[in-house]
Amino acid sequence: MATVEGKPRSDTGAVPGLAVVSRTGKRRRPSGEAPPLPHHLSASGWFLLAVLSGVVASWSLLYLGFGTTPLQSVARADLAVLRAIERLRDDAVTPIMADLHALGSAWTARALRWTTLGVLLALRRFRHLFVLFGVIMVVTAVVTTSSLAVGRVRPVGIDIIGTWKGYAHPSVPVAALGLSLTGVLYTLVPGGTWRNRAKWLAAVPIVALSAARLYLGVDHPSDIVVALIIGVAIPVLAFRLLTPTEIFPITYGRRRTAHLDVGGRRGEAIALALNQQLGLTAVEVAPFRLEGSAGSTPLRIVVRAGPEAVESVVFAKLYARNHLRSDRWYKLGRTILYGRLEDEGTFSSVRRLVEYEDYLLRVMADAGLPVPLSYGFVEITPEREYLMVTEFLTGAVELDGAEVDDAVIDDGLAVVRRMWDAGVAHRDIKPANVLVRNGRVILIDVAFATVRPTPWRQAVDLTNMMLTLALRSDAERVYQRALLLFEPDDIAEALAASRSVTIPAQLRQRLREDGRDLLGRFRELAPERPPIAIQRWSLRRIGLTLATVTVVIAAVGLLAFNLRTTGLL
Amino acid sequence: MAAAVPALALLAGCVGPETAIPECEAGPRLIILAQAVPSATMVPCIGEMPVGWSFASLDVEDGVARFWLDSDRAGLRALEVTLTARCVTSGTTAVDSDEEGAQRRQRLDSLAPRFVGTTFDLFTGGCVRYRYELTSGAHIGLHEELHDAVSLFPRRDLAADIRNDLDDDLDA
Repeated sequence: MATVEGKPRSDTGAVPGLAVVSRTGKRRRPSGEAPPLPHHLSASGWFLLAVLSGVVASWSLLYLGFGTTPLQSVARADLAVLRAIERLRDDAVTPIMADLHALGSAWTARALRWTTLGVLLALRRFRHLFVLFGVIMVVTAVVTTSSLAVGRVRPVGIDIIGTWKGYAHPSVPVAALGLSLTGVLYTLVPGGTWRNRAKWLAAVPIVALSAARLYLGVDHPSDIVVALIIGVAIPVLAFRLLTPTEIFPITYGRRRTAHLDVGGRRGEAIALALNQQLGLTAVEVAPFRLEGSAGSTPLRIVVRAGPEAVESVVFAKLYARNHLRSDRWYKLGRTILYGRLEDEGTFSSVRRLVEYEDYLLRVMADAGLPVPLSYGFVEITPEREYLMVTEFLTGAVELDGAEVDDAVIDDGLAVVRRMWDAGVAHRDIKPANVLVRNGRVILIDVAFATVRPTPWRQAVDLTNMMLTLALRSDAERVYQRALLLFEPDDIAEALAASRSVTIPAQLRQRLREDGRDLLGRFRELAPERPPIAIQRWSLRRIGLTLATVTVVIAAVGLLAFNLRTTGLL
Repeated sequence: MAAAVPALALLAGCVGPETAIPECEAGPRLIILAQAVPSATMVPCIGEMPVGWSFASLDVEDGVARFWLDSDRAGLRALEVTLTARCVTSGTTAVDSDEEGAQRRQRLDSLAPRFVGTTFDLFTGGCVRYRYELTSGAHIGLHEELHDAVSLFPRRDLAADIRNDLDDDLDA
């Protein structure tokens, strides 16, 4: 049995042979100074919020019985305007206004909303889709509740010549059309010039509907003003806060929508954060192999550092809150399906997630494992976005595209042996996470790794490494090389612990494409051992399953109810 | 967004359907019914809600106003009250009315297993239809209760209220 020693680190802290970046010019952000990418509203956003607060305050006073006199003044002014409009009615204009009134029908709003939601679904723009759906629910609830609470009658003393339904304040059709068109503007139209032009276009039907309702005498002017404030201000505030253009821009180029955009203000923020927090001057920030990452946004950043401003390249991964949520859902699903297979909890914040990855990189490097050198992480938006920075593995290729000889097989297996000795498990060994450079194996993407894992987890790492290596060679060869580092019983245990579910998706796919039953062949070669049960039952798992089923049923019911009440059905 | 949803649920809890009860007193909750049927000289309203009955919801639009009452014995929406300008009263028989200025007609569709029927109050410019589906056996008491609960309110009193508040007319 051979013993594998950890690889010593160089004096600079980098693994020998890997690029080293020197850093200078770091600067502490003074108290009160905004972070690189602040999460806040613009001046117009604050204005809309103030107007909205004024409306809510007025409603509250009216609902509680105060403010009757101001209401009468508003009502008199409203009626004076309507009387003036009534005098302008003309037989030629009335049919036109009646036709324009159809813009406020439930079918118009329904068509606009379903089309928008459908396009967002087709474009896989899920963040915008969920925000739009939430906004529709919130605005509809606000309009319905306030209409019931205020209970304003239709204009009195005016000959109402249009159709109407329910109380007058706020104007439900105007709010609905405003909401639907604002939804289109902020989820489908690119920000900037396009959206600014589209705003004028969207204003046309809203103004037409408002004019028609005033002409037909079904709404008071103040009903329409308040409906516009609710139907436009709430969506605008929600989209600015939850899908800010600079962070979630709407583009129609060829790009992976699951990843974050690194241009515009975010790109500037990344450069600023790297400079202030790591002393690196970013010359170029570009996405790097997005197709290989299902979660974080991988970046290749050209930096200039040191007194001589030498250009170098670093690798970075941008993590945001949506990655945290994905991680939570993934682990919840695994816990329900298999019990506590994963042997870990979820992360409480994005900060914890990047801290953990940084820590794991350092622990594994200290144990002599071949992982990229961590330069630490930088804060882009506190508690929301962080950038993990490591060395860029120039010249390294994924195992899929590498020449795999006995030396590479030995090195890959030795990495697993070293992880066993160090009490670490990678938990995501697959071709995309095993790189080869100069005939040596390097492990990347340690975010799923764990210290002091279960023996089962360590065993699974071995199987996955053997399968990964066998894809580029053959099972017999890998098994024979494995016997140099592992006892036959260890290998048998690893193979007995493996199931389809324990094999990462990319590795499973490669095995399917390969066609050979590599796992079966390994099992034939190894000593016989009964399969290790992977289902772990616990009260927690039963409780979680029951709770999830209950929540799903309630959510489906609530969704159906909301689709009906929000006019989507 | 996550905070807004519970806040709205709380608000909706404070402003339930009972907020819209058209009680028998001059005010916007009754005026909107009068606006739905401008010709009606009377509008239906809820006087004193009998024990076991509760207001379910109100639906009002141009041409028709409708509300429902729930009963703990007869079930949800046991009574539907509809105000329109006209009613089709074929197959009905005249019965005594306790509403001044209105003629009452009634039609029974079924006695068992449920007591199902319709009562009409006809008056100048309008008609109120009471559609009920009650538990057989207890139906006599329930039928009396629902007619005690719902009354007719004169339009002229609503017009006077508007004149008093806004110095304006209810109708054009």
